[in-house]
Formats: sequence, structure tokens, C-alpha cells
Amino acid sequence: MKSDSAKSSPLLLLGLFLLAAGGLLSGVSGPRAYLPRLIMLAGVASLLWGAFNSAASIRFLLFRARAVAEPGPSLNWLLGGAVLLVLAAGLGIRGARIDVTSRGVNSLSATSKGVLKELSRDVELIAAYRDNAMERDQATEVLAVYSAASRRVKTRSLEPDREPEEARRLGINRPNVLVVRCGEVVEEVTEIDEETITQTILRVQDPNRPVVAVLDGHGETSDGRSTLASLRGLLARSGLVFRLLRLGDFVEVPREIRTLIVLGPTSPLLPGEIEAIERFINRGGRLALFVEPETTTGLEPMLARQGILIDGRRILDESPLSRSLGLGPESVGINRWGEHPITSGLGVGLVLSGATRVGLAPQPVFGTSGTDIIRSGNDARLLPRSGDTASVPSAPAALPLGIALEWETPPQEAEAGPAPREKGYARLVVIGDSDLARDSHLDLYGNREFIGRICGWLTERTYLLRFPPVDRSGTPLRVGLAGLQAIFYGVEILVPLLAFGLAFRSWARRR
Amino acid sequence: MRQAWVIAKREVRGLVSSPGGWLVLGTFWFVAGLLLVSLLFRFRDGTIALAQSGQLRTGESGLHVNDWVIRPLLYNLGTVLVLFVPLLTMRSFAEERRSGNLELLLSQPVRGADLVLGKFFGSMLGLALCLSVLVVHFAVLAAVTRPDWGATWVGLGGLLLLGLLFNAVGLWVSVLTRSQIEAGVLSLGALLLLVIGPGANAEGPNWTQSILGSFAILPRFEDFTRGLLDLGHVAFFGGVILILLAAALRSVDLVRWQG
Amino acid sequence: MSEPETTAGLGLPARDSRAAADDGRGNDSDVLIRASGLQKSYGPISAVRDLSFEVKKGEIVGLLGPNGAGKSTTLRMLIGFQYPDEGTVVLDGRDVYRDGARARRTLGYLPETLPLYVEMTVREYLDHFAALKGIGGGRGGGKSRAAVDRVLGELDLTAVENRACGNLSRGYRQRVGLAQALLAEPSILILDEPTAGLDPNQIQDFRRLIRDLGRERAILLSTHILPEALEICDRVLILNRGRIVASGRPDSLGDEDQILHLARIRLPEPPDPEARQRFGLTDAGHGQTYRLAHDLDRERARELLRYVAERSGEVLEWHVGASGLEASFRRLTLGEEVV
Repeated sequence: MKSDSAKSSPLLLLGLFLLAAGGLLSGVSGPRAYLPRLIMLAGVASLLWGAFNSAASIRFLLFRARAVAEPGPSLNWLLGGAVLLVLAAGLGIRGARIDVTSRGVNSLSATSKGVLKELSRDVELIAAYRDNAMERDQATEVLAVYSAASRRVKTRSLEPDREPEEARRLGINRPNVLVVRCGEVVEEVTEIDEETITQTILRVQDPNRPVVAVLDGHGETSDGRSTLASLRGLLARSGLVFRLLRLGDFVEVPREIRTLIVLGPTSPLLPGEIEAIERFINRGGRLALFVEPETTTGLEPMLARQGILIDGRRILDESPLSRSLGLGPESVGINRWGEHPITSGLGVGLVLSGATRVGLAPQPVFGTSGTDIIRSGNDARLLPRSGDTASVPSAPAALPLGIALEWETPPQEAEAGPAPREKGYARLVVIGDSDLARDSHLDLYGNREFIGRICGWLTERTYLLRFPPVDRSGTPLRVGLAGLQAIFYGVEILVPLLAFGLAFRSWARRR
Repeated sequence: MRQAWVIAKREVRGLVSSPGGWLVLGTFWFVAGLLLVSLLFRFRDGTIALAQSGQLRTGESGLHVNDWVIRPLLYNLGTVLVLFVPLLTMRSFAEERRSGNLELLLSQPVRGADLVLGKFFGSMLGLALCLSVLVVHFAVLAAVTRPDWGATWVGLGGLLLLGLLFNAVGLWVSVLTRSQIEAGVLSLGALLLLVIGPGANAEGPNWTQSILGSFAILPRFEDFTRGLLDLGHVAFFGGVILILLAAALRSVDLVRWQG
Repeated sequence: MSEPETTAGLGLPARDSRAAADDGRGNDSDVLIRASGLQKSYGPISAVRDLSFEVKKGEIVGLLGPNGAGKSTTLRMLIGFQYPDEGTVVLDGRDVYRDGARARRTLGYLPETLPLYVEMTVREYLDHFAALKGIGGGRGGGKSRAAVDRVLGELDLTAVENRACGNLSRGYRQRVGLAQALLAEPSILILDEPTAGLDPNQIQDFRRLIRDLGRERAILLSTHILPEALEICDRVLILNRGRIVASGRPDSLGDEDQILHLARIRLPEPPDPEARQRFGLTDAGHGQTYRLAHDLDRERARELLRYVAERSGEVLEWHVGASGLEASFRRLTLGEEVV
């Protein structure tokens, strides 16, 4: 009984230690493991026993100590510590961070700061990374920087495997992404850099939601074809409004429509429709055309005038990538893209099903700038049209399968109402397949992201902010191998030896 | 307060006049040197590899010594302190209690607070002695490259704060025991708990994670090593240290009550 | 237990010539140590029960008691190191628990086994304590140096001032400890077994020193060496099982219990059976010599002397248990029924 504390404090520490060890183990071995629970139970028992043992001590500390002894400053220290902790919590929320690095690696650029200052709605940044994901720490650091920069930015982390319900509620479909959320609009960020994140924040919090119309009436949504529910969801989550448009009813494409998608019509468009679409483009409209092989849309002459050639023949891709997909002979796997905002940094490949060649004319049309954004593998051949028995398949080659094109349009006379937001550009994307945007293929590989980016580019939801170049300057190392060896001898041998020498000296002195 | 410094001075004397103290210091210096040299070699290899890959314009070196040497050096030394601080603090109270010196000290006109503060300042000076080797390291780095000094000093300050927090833990544990060995082992356990504990309930529910997570020490320390001076972190370290010292002082009262 | 002293005659106990302060009288401001109602228990074991006493200026009080009687606990509570469950200790007018740092400024304490910082020299050690006691502002200035020089001189430590404390002999260590206690010229000295482990010469020196120091100080010392208490204490408190079972001047405690416990006499003719039984005489072998079979009290011893004188006998050997204190100590601390 002589010293309660001496007996009980190891027990308390042991208890805490066992609890932590058990927690750690269960973290490693999963929540159902038996041993970690046993260890944690032992920890609790040890804690209780320690507390029971030191009951007299605790009573003394709480009630008797001040009655017996001089008050001492311990209570003041305790209060001071508590105040500091509250302050720390407050500062943690408020963010009182001073970046002292000369390169400013811990702060946002002036551009991002300006953007965040202008935010009018709360934006949530969610890091949905698995515990072992490589980018997790980087993402957490970036999140801390953003949340410190603006009160509008809320951040949280969650482990998608552990909280699947919550992840689904937040619109997170796959692990290891950074998700930017504002209201119902959710966008995934795959590249953790300031520019991408800031652009995404700008996009999701923009209250103007452009209307994207999908043309109907020519077999686009006919029975027997895969439906467009996924595309509708994708557009909604990118902050766009989806609408089906039957153009035959109108003389003009309605003004509020900025972007039109023509998704694999099986019968040609009416001449009036074609004219309306041409007028739509010429006043700065945006068009995405997804064509199926061996069909005619009627838009081909207009496209040819802009330098886009649709071949129409079906492609058979014999390259190992496409074959390894195992999705049938018609599928074309794509992992090669041109330099374009739509495709830059696209991580995962695409899968097309029944594609045709869409290429640029050898001689570009003056004033347009076009890029072939996706290409098949090297072993793609164009099959003869069905019914054409005379021709043979073309020689294997890498075939262009998609074109993005833009050109300046003449300024429009002012209309009633607000002037259109778009600059005077027409934008056009033509892809030699329509299945990749349908439910059957949209969720395969990188298709969803690709379609999302096409819509983003067309609707100009990629904000073209100018970011100052990141200071990637390093520091020189002005020392050779010999110098490094000298350093090795100095700090790793000489300095410790000095201490050991002093140890020996004081040992010898004591003798 | 004056008495506290007298006690602190005596603590440092005890450290530098004992062979054990110098052995601990020498070992710490050796580990630190090992880290520095290996990081420097890694930095050099990285620089050469980058130059050979041709991604650099001439006269430019893409790797920064703060990212490649100083930050990992400070961070790793922080974790190494988990092992070394118990060696520095285990003597402080346990040995005095065992030898009866505590009785003699408390028969002097010395307040309990002076005693605790004195021991704490003493351990602080011991820690400073430990970390003094970094002056040599920084001098070497200044000679061979061009560190970002602002970030370096903030990182070093963070390392000191971390060490002080560890010291306070070690002191408290040392008050509660009579043998140095027990004190050393228990403080090591307590520090490990403190360092890995907050991250250990990865399987737990969200609210325990966020509560425990706010007490996580290493992530806060890491912010310092990145050259980020977060006043919230400074307040956190100060608050925890004060609370630990208050606990140590209360425990001295307990010892005086229990004999 | 200590050796009994041999004295020339009966009824002449060793008495300190110095006039001891009278019990219970004297001016209240002279009281330098006042303990009242001290209680301390370790769990179910009660170490000190309702202990109250005072020590006045110029008084040397001995705290006697067997091992485990609560002496150390009492001293630790007196210096304020240990907190009691109940009760207060006032040193020179200051509560040692509520105003400890200031109360202890008037206190010099010598623990039983002095822990020394082995690597420090004697002077460094004393400098350290001078700083702790705040002498000369704690900065080791001239005042502190003078204080250290003074105690080095007083305790004959000048010769060893530059020796490391770890290399000192037991006697020197004890002196260093006392030097430490005397640094701030305290008005109260509390010494725990101050002469334990010293050789006889050192003990004598030490006792003389304590007597000198006691002239203008209040000294409380614990000891289990009864002759020491007899020799230097003005008053003793006998402690048993955490209680004071007796207190008073050491000689007064002893007086009624003087005993003769060894005598060898020669008688011309054998004693009659009545005398044999009365004095417990047994044959000692050589002719007419006899020895005591049991101890005799004062009265019986006088009778024996008279008996021998009447019969023209001879006293060959005559040992008096000079420490009557020892007997009362034994009586008070051994049998619970006596208390």
C-alpha cells in the first residue's frame, strides 16, 4: 500500500497500450479478427484495475490535496493548457498558417486565392482514398491548404471501402479520387494539382447550368438500343442540364441550348434540321456528333466543309489491346490520344464498339484548328461495306477515330436578352462511334471521363484561368563523391566519436 | 523560478558528467549523421538521374534540398526522439526518489513547481544538446547547397516542440516510478502510444477517428517540417506540454502524500 | 542496544550541566517547531497517530523509538516533504504545508543517508545548495561564497573542498550533509540519525558540534542510540507505534529506574540464605566471591552495599545500568500492555 501510484500507473499505461495495440491489430487484420478484441478487452480490464487501485490517489488529488497542501500552480497550468488547446482547435478551424518557405510550397497561388475569395457557395472537397493509396497524403495536404485559404471550402476524408453508404451518398463511385462537391454537382479530380482543383471548384459552384440537348427523332433512342440514363446522370453531375430535343418541331435550335449532341442517328436528318444545325454552329454553337459505321447522318457535307472526313466503313482492330479486352470483334481499345484539353492527362483507355474512321482532311480548312484526339492501335483495318464484295480490307494502320475542331465565328448581332456567354467560337467534336456514350459502354474504362471531358470542353466548363508557373527550382549540390565521403567521415564518425570520447573521459574520472 | 534554473543547471551537469549521458548523446549524433549522409547520397543520386533524363535545362537542378534532405531528416529525427527522450528523462525523478534526493530537495526552500519546472528546463537543455549536432549538419548543408533557411528553422522549431512534449511525458512517467528502468520503459510505451495511438483505430467509427485524430502529433509535426508555421499547432503543443507538467506537479503532490 | 555505561557510584546519572529549558514554560515566540495533531496512515496501517509537540529555541530534542515507530514519517512531515492526513506543522510561525518554500527557509535538514551528487566536488555541491536556498540572490555571488567558506571552516571541510563527493568517507559525507543544512544559518535543525555509521571519535566530535549548535537553535534529532540522547538532548520524546508514549528530560525519565545489574563481591563468610535470596547471590567460583543472579533496583542495591559493609566484605565489581532511560524505553516500547 505504500505507493499506490507506483503500482497503478503502470497498470493504467499498460491498459492504454493494450487498447492501442489492439486497435492497431484490428486495423491490420480486419474488424472481425478475434485476437485484437481480446487484447483490447485486456486493456480495458487493466485500465479498470488500475483505476480501482488508484482510487485513493485519485480521491486525494481531487479533494484532499488542496486542503492539505499549498495550492501550487498546477491548476493554473492545467487551465492554461486547456485554454491553449481550445485556441489550437479554434485556430485549426480558422487556419492561422504562415508559409515560411521561400518557394511558397505550402500556399496557393494568387490566382487560386482570388478564385476562392469570390466563392459564393460552400464547396466540399472530399478525399476518398484508401488507407494505402499513394496519393492520400498528398491529397490531405492539398485539402488542408484549400481549407485554410477559404471558409467556403470544407474538407473531409473518407475511406470509401469502409463507408460505402456514405461514399455512395456523396456520389463517389470509385476509390482513390478527390471529389469536389457543391450542392448536387459532383466532379472527380484525378490529378492532384492546384490548377485542376481550382478549375473544378469554379465549375461545380457555377450556378449557371448550361443546357445540353441530345437530338432525337432519328433512331437515337429507338428500342433495341442501349439507353441514355448514364449519360443523363453524367451530365447532371457535371452541372449540365440534359434535354432531349426533337428538332423537326422547330425552325431553329432554341437559344438557351448551347450544346447539341447528335448520338448515332440510324436515319439521316431532315434537310431543315441540317440547316438549323449549321446556323446553330455558325452563331457559335457547339456540336458533338457520334456516328455509327455504315450510316449516313446527312451532316457529312457540312463537316467536309470544315475539313472533317467520315469514312463510314467499319473498323476491325487486331491490335493486342483491343483483343485483350475480350468484348467481341467489334470493340476497339484506345490508349493513344492527341494533344488536346479533352484528352490531356486522361489516365484510362477507352473502349469503342463498332467504330468508323473520322479524320481530318489533308489540307486544313483556313481558320480552323483541328486535332485528332483518339487513335486506334496499329493493326486496325477498314472492312469493306456490307454488300461490297469486290473490295478487300485496307492495310493495317493506326486510324484516327475522333476529331475536335474549333474556329472563330463572325460576331452576332445583339439579340434581345442576355448576350450568349460563349465567345465567338464554334466547337465541334466528331467521334466515330456512339456506343461509348450509351449505358452499355459508358462505364467501361475511361469512357465516362472522356465523354465528361467532351461535354466540358464544348460547354467551356474548363475555365481558362492563367496560373503562374509553379516554382520547381531546385538547389544545386556543389559537392562530389569525395566531398560526400568527407561529410560521411565528419558527421557519422568524428562527431559521435567526440561524444564517446567524452563518455570515456568521465568514466575514467569516476574510476 | 530562479530555483528552477538552479535545478536545471544541475540536471545538465548530471548529464554531461556521466558516461551514460555522453553515450546517449553520441548514439543520437550517430543516428542523425547516418540519416544526413544517406539523405545526401539519395539527393545526389536523384539530381544526377534527373540531369541524365534530360528534363532539365542546363544550369538548373530540379530537386530541392529542403524536400530531399532537410524535411526527411527532421521528420525522422522526430520519430527517433521517441526512443531517445526516455533515455534522457528516465533519471530525472525516479532516480531522485530512489536515492532520497527528492526528500533533500524538498527540504530546501523550493516549491514543487520550481522542482518540476527545473527538471523540465533541464530536460530541455539536454534535448538542445542532443539537437546541437544539427548545427553541424546545417553548416555542412550550407557549404554544399543552398537550403531554404526559413523553412529549415521552422522545422527545427517543430522538432524542439515535439521533443519538449516528449520530455514532458517522460518527466511525468518518471515522477510515478521509483526505478529509472521502469521509468524508461514506461515512457517509451507512453510515447509509442501517443505517436501511433491516434492513428490506430482505422477500423473505428468516424467520430472516434476525428477526436483521436485531432490529438495526432506526428501530422502536426510534419507541417512544421514542411515549412508551415501553423499557430494552431504551436498552441496545441504548448497546451499539451502545460497539461502534462500540471499532471507531473500533481503527481509530485501525490508522491508527497504517499511517501 | 547500546553498551551500558560504567559509573563510579549509584545515584549519579550522567547529567548535562547546561540548564535545560523548562517544560511548558517560556515565551510562545520561542517555539520554533510546533506540530499539532499529526496523523498519517498508509492504507490500513496507521503510521503516526495524533502527534503534537513543540520545540523551543535553544532546545535539543531527541526523538526516540524503535524501528517502524514512525520516526522517519514524523521527520518527513516536519520538513514538509510528506503530507499528513491531518494536522499541521508550523516552523518559526509559518505553516510548512501551505507556505512551504518560506517556512523551509529557516530549516536545515540532514537526512539519514545523505544522497550526494557523486561527480561534484564538495565546494560545488555546497554552491549548488547555496543557490537552491537563494543565498546571495542565488547567483553564487560573494554572499553565497562567504556562506560556503563559513560552513567549510566550521565543519573542517576545507581540506577536502575540491574532492569529488563520491570519494568521501562516511564521516566526511555526514559533515558535508550537515554543512549543507547549516548553509543558510537556519534557526531550526532537523537531523535524522546524525551519528549513524560514524566512528567513536567522529561521534564525539559530532555530538559536541550539535551541542554547540543547539545554543541558539531549535534542534530535533532522531536517534536510537540512547546514550546519545542522554548526552546531548535536553528532552526526549519516545515514539511507539506512531504515538508519543513518554516525554521529558532524559535523566528524569531514567531516575526511578536505575538498576544494578552486575556485581561481584567477596564476603568473609557465606551469606545467610535469606540474604542470598534477597539479593539473588550465587557463587562465583573462587572461594568467597558471589555474583548477582538478577538485577537489583536502587533500594536493593543500597541494601546490598550496606550488607557488604556490615560484614566487612569487599566489592570487586560494580556495574550500574546507568541508562535508566534504556529500561523505560524497553518498557514503553516492548509491551503494548504497559501503554
